[in-house]
Amino acid sequence: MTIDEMKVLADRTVKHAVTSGAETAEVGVIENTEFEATVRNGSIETLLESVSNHIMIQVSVDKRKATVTSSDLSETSIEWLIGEAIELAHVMDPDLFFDLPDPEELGSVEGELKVYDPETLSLPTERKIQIALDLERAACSLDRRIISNGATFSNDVKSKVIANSLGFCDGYRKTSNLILLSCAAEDKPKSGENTGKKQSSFWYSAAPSFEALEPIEHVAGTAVSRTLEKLGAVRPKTCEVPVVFDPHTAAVFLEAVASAVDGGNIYRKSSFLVDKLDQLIGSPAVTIIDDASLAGKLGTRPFDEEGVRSRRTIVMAKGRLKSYRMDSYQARKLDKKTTGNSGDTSNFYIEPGLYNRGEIIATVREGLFLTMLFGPGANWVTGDFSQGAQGIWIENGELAYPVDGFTITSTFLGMLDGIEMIANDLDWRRSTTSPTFKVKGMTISGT
Amino acid sequence: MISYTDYFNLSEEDMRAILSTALSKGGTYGDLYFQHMIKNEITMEEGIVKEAAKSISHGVGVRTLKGESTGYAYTEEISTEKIKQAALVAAAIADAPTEPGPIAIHEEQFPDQYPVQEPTTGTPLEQKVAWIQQAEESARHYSPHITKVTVTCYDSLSNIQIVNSEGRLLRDTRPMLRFTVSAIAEKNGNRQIGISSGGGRVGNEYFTNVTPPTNHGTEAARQAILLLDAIDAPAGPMELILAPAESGILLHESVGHPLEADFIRKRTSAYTDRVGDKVAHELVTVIDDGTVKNDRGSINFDDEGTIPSPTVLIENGILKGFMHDRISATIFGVPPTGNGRRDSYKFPPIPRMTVTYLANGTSDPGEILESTRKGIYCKSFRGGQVDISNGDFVFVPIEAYLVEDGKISAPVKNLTIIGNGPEALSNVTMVGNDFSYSDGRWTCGKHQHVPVGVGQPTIKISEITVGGSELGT
Repeated sequence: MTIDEMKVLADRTVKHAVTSGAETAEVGVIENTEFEATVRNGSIETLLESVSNHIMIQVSVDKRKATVTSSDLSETSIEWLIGEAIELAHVMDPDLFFDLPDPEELGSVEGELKVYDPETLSLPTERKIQIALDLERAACSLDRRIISNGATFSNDVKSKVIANSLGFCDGYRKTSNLILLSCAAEDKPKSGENTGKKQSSFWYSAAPSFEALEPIEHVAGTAVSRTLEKLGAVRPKTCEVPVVFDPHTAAVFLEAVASAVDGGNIYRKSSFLVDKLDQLIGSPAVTIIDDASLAGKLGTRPFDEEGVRSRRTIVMAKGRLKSYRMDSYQARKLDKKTTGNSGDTSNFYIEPGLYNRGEIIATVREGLFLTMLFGPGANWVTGDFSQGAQGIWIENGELAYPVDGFTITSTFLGMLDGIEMIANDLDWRRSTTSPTFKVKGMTISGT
Repeated sequence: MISYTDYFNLSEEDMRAILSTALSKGGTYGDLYFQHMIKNEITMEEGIVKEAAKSISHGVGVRTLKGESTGYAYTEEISTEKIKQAALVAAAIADAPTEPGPIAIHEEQFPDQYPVQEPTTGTPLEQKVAWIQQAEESARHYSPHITKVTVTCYDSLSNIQIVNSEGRLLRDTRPMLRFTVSAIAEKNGNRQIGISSGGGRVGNEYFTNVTPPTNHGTEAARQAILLLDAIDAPAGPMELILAPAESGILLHESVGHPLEADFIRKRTSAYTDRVGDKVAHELVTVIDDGTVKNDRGSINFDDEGTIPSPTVLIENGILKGFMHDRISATIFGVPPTGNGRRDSYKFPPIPRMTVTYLANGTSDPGEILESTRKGIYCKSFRGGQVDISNGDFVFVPIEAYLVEDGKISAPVKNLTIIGNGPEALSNVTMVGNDFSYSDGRWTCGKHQHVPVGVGQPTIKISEITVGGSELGT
């Protein structure tokens, strides 16, 4: 569908809901065109291509709200859905905080956001498969020990229209492109135990425009070095040491922080940051920004899922918590103004510092350079943090040997307060992103 | 409302024509996956029934296979023309135009693993709201320190029709119920959360026969209150006792994922080429079984039409086999095991677990506890994850205690437990006689989300790394 066709459908659905008895109505129409080619050992592993649509209708009656979604956009189906939504709403309790956003907040960011790249749609399938094949070949040619676990090229075009009964109706198209390489290598632990052990890793580049993807040699090289550097990993001793988070693990940490500043978790008292606004909770090195209006990034969009204009919000300024990330309902619950954070992720990042990564590592006499975190042990409700980890042990300011099979434990407040140095290596391969940083001390649990 | 059978009502001739299109470029196998799904969710928080959501999705996925290559496309417009277009896209992985032979379609029958007395989807909203209110009340009244309670009732009904180029046609209706209570407790600035959840491929009888709503409410509140007094967990290697049922998550992560045969055929799993090897203590027998009655992970047939039966993965410590989809089964020359599963019509199937469990042992659970000098006892979990290549797996307890000299002592918090698959399973030194399945709550995310089940008796692992924050003295 064209954006104009989607707008007609959204607008018609809003009007239909209102004439059917809804006091307020909000409609989203979304179309997603997806492509993914994965190759392994020089052959196609999977080739996926599809277009999907759905419509989301939210209605309210006497402050009672209900939502329906469907992949069937036919008129009869939508008519039936509206009836279902209104019937559902009647069974709900009234929620005095429910309302549509303040009309003044609705609208698009001015200026060119650079989130749509027409080339994404026009690239021939053969070319996209060839990129995946070249990526895999580039990785395998770097070292004979590399086992390919697949090279992927994928891209998609997302079209989105939001309309509501205040008269807002607008839409946009957004593209994303991704190249990804996963690989493994045989590992032979010294003890002779653990037959069959391997080490694996991956690397990728992603951007709204095809042109902005990093060269395949770079992605292949990083995936291969992240895999090979793990060979011979040993379990470290149980101790407390400084930990240097690389951008990958720093972003995992920041994602949990994003949940902790989510307005929904705040009003539900499900965050360690409840009642912490305007308090100094992090080190003065830490400034965290939310900005869906930043041009050309993966989390960029003109407005959020309520039609609220995107904006830049300082979430933490030099360690002081300045704002939560809220949609209009959460903002009303917290007696604040919406920050335009309804629905999809925006760009959320820690501001880069002045150091390069090597300078940070050089300050650590004994510690951990952290390259992988896993498991659900980042608990933003209580503020506890304990996760499975992998990385490289630092001795006398230099990367010494790989370590795995251990956990790192602290608390979010301890970590935010303990961030001593931040590097200048922020990149935008993901929408929640962080530069390398060093945390003063965390518990390592190993042997 | 339009009935789903109308959507799927393609004539046999149309289905044959579409399958022929899927194979027209030399693919060796093709299938169509029709799905129509209704999901309902009602949420109560802050004492009011606040959110109601209904979602309807339908589509048809077309898959073409040739060797290890998969071509896949789907459409949400269920017309012969649109499905044929999808078939052409899927067909494109092969490049040797052929004229596929005739396909004779016949519908197959199978045993029903999830008979339901009273389907939840379609139950009046007022009834669902009543369950939610009962649960909320029991959590809130548990203690004055409970400050927030959220209750969610989720149900879905998925109608599936699979037809493949071998002419097999299967239809199924898959129900699902999941009821969840979370409770926040606060005291002196300390905030803790408790969660209780359950369900399965069951109907409303779940609330009378298995777990009443009030039990979920009380259980969530009990956990949150208990954790208010939890102490920071220790760090370092020690003994570990896992309580029955929920602890099956250990198996799911430690050996379940690495035995999914896509990792085996790609040679990235630590268990590649190891059938016949001793990979666990002889007390350990691990089975994946999609036929467990009414379990969250059970299936009448998998998402490529294979009717499941129990698959022995590890028997008395010896690795016996893997969990296969059609692709890996063909490569290894074994029958598919009924583990080809998918999230929805938007995805091709891949090897996934169904209900994975550790078989019952003979030890008395009391003796297991008494034999433990210093360790951790884990009862319930937030979840886990595994690195299938190096074998490291983690799981995060919600409710866990210190064990000292054979006795359970203080509850502990803020810990992740990390082990290595083959090593941890070799350290299983006692297996209890108190086997039980988990109340259905787990969803496994391996690129696609599918519901799974786990089960286990009490077990003891003689040494594993406990990742807390307290360094020993």
